[in-house]
Amino acid sequence: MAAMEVGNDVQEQCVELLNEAALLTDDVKKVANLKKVQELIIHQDPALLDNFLDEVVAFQSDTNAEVRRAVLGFIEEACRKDHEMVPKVVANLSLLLQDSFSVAVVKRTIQAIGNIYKITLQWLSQARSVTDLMDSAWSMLGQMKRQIISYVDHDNDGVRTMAVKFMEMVVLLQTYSEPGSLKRQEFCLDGVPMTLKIARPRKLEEEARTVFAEMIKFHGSPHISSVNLMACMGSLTLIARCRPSFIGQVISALESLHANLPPTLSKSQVNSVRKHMKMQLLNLLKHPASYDSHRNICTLLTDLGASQSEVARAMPPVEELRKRQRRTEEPPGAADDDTPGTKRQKFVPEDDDDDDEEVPAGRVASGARLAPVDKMKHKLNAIDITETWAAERLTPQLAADLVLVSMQHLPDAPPALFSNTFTPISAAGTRSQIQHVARLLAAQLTKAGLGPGVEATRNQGIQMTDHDWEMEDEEEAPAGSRRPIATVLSGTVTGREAKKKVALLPSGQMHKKHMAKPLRLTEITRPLPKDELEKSMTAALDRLLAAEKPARVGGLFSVRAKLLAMMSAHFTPQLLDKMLVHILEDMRGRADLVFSWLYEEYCNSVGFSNFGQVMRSTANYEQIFCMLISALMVRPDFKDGEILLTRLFLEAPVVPASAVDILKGFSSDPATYQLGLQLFGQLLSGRPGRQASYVPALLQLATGAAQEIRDRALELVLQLHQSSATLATLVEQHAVERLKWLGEETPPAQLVTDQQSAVPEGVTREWTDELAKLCLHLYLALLPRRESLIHQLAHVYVLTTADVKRTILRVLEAPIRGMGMESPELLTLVETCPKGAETLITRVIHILTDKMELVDRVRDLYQKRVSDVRFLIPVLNGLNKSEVIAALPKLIRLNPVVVKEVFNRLLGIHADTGNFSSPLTPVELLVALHNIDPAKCDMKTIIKATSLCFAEKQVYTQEVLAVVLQQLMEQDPLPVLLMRTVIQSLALYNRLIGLVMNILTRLASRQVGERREVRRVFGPRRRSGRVSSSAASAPSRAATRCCCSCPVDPLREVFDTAPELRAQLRDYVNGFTASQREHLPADVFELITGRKPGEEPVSDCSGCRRRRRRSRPPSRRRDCPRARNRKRSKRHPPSSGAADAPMKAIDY
Amino acid sequence: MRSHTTSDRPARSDERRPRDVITVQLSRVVQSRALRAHPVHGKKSFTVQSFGTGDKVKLPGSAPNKPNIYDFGTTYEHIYRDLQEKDRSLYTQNGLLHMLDRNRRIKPGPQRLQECSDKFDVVISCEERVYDQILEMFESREPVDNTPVHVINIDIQDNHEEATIGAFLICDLCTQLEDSQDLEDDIDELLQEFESKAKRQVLHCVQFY
Repeated sequence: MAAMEVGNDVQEQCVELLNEAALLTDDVKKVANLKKVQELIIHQDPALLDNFLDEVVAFQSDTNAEVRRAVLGFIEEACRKDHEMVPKVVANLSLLLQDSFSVAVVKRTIQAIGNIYKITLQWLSQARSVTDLMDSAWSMLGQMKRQIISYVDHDNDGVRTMAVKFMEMVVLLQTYSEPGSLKRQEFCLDGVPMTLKIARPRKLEEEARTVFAEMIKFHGSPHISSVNLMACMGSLTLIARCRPSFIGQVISALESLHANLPPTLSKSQVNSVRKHMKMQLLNLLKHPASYDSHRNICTLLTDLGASQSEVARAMPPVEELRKRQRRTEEPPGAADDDTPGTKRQKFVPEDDDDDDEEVPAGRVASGARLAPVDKMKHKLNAIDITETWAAERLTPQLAADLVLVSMQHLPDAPPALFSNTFTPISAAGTRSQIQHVARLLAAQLTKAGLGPGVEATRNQGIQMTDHDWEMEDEEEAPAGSRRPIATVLSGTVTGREAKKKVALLPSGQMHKKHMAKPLRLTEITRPLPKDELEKSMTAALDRLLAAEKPARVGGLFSVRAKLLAMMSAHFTPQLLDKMLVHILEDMRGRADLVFSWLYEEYCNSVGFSNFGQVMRSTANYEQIFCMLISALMVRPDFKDGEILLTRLFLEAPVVPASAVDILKGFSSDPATYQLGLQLFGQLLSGRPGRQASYVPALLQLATGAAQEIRDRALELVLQLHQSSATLATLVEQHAVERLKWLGEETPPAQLVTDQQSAVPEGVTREWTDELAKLCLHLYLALLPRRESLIHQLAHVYVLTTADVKRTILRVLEAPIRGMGMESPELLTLVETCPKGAETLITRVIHILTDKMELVDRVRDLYQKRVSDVRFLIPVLNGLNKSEVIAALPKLIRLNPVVVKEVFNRLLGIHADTGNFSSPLTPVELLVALHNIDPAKCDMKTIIKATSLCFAEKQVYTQEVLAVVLQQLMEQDPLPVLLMRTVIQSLALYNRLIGLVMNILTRLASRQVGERREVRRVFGPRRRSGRVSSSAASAPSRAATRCCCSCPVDPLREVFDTAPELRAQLRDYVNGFTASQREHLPADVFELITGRKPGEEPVSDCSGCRRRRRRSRPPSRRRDCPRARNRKRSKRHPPSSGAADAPMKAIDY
Repeated sequence: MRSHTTSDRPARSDERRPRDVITVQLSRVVQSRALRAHPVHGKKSFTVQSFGTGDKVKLPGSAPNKPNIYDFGTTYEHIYRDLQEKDRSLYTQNGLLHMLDRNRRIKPGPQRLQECSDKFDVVISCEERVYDQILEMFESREPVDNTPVHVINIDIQDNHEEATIGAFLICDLCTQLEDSQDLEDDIDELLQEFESKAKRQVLHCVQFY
């Protein structure tokens, strides 16, 4: 009863204290309350532990770090008191270990885990059977252990210190106690049965050695802090004292530390560390197991400044040393006998009492266990080997050399460390001192990985590691086989166990569950099946679409648009179609919907949207945009959509590249190109930021085959070219690129496919005029704006085929003229003309010749240096009239082809432009030709030249010739070739006959005074003219009248050669009225009619004719010398035709 | 003579745990350096205790070779009376009685560190020899729960003037240590700062309970 009362009392007290603590705001009191509870429960009534554990542990979520630490203290104590508590608190420990707010809590947790780990292993070892709970707790502790060990690299100095202490605990716990170790009442591996499945002693020991190696590594790390270093040093010494097998490793670690103190330590820290090390070494020295290393320890101690008496005091009693010495000399088997019996029993618990069997088994076990110790010995050996090696070589000579060499590396002032620690060497030069120096050198060399010792151990080391591996394999096997079974068990056979493992939740968290948890919709909802989802979406969309009017009436129109837009961002293709149809039904009315849709889609694509998943891809937006514009473009009632289309392009958040392509296609349709190009223009001005993306499309349009589109696009391109420098370069690049296509042998496929009328496959494409021009349009348009481009042309020109060259030359005129003579680029081009482009240059010069500068230069050249008239040809049009006329005689003497070119030039033949201006009009040219001095040029050449003129019927039309004849006629003296020209003109244009007759008449009358000469010169020609005229046409009234006005002598001659004319004339004259006859000179009348003017005409009988013929000779004889008569008859047989006449005349 | 005082633990509103600081002095020290530091500590409100580390409590006597020796466990009251009886004027003159009078009001009698089972965060000694003794003590112990303790030595000469200066130095150091959020992490730096400021060599080491 009394006990019950006490129990109840304690319980009530605890409840009261805990309730109070929960309400307290004062942390100090809270901690005090918790401590009281701990005291009450642990020490007065442990039975209550189970009841109150959760309540106390619940304080672990307190905001105050002190409270949390108090909870940790409670947990630790609870576990110590009752091992069954371990599984309940492991999860809590894990949580506390992650405490991110207070390092102090983490440190305290590490401390607590260290103890609990130990306790748990003990518990496991002592338990009759291992339950699942234990297993889980152990594995969780294992995780935490690994984490803590990794904390040795933690940022916080204190945490590192605690981690080191934890490692020390692990090493001590997971190794076997040894003979001569410090007697500690602690649990260690000795107490762990071999049969413990979840914690195999071998595995544990192996782990301990790894952890020890980690510690050694940490101890030797160069930037370790002094606190860590001293903690680590202390831990290592402790381990060495408790587990003498580690002593060698520890001492060599201390040696290497002494030789290489971390450079980061300050002067006083160095002092502290050295002092600490000295103390540790003295402690080691006291330990009997350190006998083997006594020499090393003593040396180190002397270095650290320990006095002989100190060392001597620390030395263990001589008897003990002797005993130990004796023991090491005995065979290991005998040594085993000295070990406590318990140990062997632990190794081979299944052993019989039979000693014969026991010894080998024990040896095997200890052999395997001691293997790492051997390894460590080897490490020791490395220094030892190097030491002896160095000692052999340390002669005074070498020492002096070493000092001299290292002199260079000495700092100017002795470092603090040195001045602090240096003690004058008392025993310099003695054998022991040499040995000591050798040892120091060896330690340094080994650390640097040099010297024979390292090499020797390296070889052995490899063997050792191989051996280790085998051992590990050996050990792995059972562990490995255990693990799969465990997994299989937990995974398949017993779901119960798996549940248990999961069930290790932190204690004291129950009340947390009642806290309001934020509602997460995604957690409590489940996604709809796909078809159902789509069905609902379709239905929803249908309803929304149908609700247009109600929405408008109800004032929810914008809300509806927003809804639709939001929904449409997640549409399937069918729904999209529906939406599209809806929009297209009323383009204007639903434009707002279109835009909110587009913007929603855009927001989704760039991740601005709050709704739905972020797509981060513009594919959807692009698709919808393109769909909309294509739908608008193909609509028959396009007019309605035009505005929307423009708005779409200008107001959409972004015009995707594919939309630009569509627009390009739209623009290249002759039916719609105007709107398309207009859109392009608006895009260019309205979205200047994106100009660069429209330019390529536009450029393609500007180089297309269809002229109207091309011209319009070219305009836009040229505007662009002016507006921005970057775009200008873009445009120019494109132009030059296309220009370069010309240099290829055949038109590139790209060019051909650009064209609508693509050449079918297999047909070899050839450069046509059209294709070549396609390449040139843009370039030529740019040329006047960017004159430097002309050089590109010159280079390309060299490469082109003859056909293309011709095309180029032909189209070059306008742009070159646009550039003008003053263009420095053009002048540079003329100067630096590439080989093969001479024709191009010539052409350029030709085009520009009316510009004075160039002409002046050429004229200069011609007049002063090279009087080759050919130079003048290019600049012909730039010369003035008199110059051309002066040069004419020379010009026409050139090769007929050249002469033709000269004439073309002068006459403006092949000149494409209308502003052709020649110094000479066609009339002037022909007149000039007639006026060439026969002395300068022979008549034949002149005749050829004139006939060239006559060949240009387009220039020398009837009217022109008439003017020419008129002008020639008025000259005095008459040009030699006049009559020839008259006849030729007449041959070309019959209708000139009237004029010719007129001229002849006037000539006839004018030349009365000098008839003789005239007759001599013109007689034959006139006659020929007559002949020709009569042959070409029926004798006209005018012709005969002309004849009538001729002087009588020539007429007579005519009649001699063409008697039938006389009959015609006679008929004509007979038809004259009396007054008309009076105009006719009497002798002419008589000659024609054969009678006096007063006589009546007689019938034309043969007798008369005969008479008349008879009467003629005397007059002929009188007027005409015989010689001439003869000559004439010979030259002009009556049969001579009109066609022959000119040709014969040339001979004249 | 050794005078060891305990002050009341001040209530602290600070969330951080108050640090337990002790100063240790050698038993033979005539003028308690630790004690000097003591009242200053007390006023500054951190928990301070002072201890001796020697075998006996030794106080100067009438001649250098005739010290007054007491066992630990003797009260200040007893020593005070004893000395009063022996030579009142001498011990009043050298201040010993005054000191003992003060001490007896603080705690009953001298304490020996080795016999104290409390755990501290920081132990400060005023002489290297004491420091060595403290380390030796810790080394000889078996660490149980691995709670770290920082042992610091600041050499203070055994005279009134130095003791006064030393008291302030120790107080200064303690204040800094107290203010540190994370002692383990900061102590290296704090000590180095202190060294350069006080121009005194400091020995420092970490040990574990």
